[in-house]
Amino acid sequence: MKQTCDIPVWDLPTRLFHWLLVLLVAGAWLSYKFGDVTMTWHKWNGYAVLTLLLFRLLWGFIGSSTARFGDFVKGPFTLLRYLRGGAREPSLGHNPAGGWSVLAMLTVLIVQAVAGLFTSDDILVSGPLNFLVSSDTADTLSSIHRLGYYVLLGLVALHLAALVFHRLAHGENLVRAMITGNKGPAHVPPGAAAVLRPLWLAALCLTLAALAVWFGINAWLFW
Amino acid sequence: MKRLTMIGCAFAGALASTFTLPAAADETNPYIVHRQGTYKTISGHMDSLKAMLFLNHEAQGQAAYHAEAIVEAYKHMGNAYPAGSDKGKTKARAEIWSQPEKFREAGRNSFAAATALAEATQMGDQKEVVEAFKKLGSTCKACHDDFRKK
Repeated sequence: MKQTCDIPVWDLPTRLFHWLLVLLVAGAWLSYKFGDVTMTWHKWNGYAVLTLLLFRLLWGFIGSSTARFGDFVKGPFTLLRYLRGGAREPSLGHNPAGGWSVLAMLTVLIVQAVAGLFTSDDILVSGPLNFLVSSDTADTLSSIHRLGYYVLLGLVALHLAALVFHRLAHGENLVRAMITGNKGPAHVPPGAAAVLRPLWLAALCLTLAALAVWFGINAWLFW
Repeated sequence: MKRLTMIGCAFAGALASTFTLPAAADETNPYIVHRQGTYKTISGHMDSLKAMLFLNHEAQGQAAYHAEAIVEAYKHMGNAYPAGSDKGKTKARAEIWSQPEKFREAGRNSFAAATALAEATQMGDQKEVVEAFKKLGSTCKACHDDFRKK
């Protein structure tokens, strides 16, 4: 008997954040590879990524329960126990390994986006904060930004592999969960359900994030 | 006596470590410094051209000066990559010396694009100048992708 997937796990802001990020990360590479020589699209893509990331940081503290870092970031012993398959109690949101993957990906993305603000290609294009640092520092941050692509690629590959693994080993379709926001009762703790926060709060976080990015990239106006 | 020896060793070590300071100081290989100066010159002219072509700078008639200056800069590169000049404050990759034909071709493409840009500025068709400018930028990027460290 197929049980209906109707336990709410991921709220709308979290799901929108995730899928917009997928589009923008792909867009970042596409705009670099096929964009024009002034990299205008790539820069705007980066500002959008930075806005989303700032939103996620805010939402991770005041958002819905499954979006909060306190909900899914577990200590090393819990993580080890989970990986060894010991305490096989299901998680409502991210499992311990997934939780640390989220942190890893957010960290790499933040480093990538921020480094991009200072990056120069030595031809025509430089980020809006390139003027703030010495050319040596800009060189280092530019290298980080260019090499960061490979680190991100590796993490994305790992992420996709983990999704396949979960489908095969645990029968969990995590992609569908991130689209619909729901999981079946077999994959969540009994009686558990996400505590959702209102949409206007998410909109407020997004607005604050956008304002912060706007101020940040226009720093030269206030210098 | 042992304590004095320790202090002496610590002092000698500190003094010796200051000998690494020149490594953190200015680059002394003239070929590295010269070629980087030339590239910065070219980049400067590209910025001025960007102002004229994309930001509507009023002195668009001076585009020819910048384009010709880029061609001249390339002509005055001289012996830019002698053997061993990948050591130091440089982003030159080993492929420059292990794939010299491919590297020379990248250089030829850039020079050809710069020449084409200079010609376009003489002809006066704004759209052609923009296209030639974009082409030049893409040859810079192409060489960087293969021969400059990330």
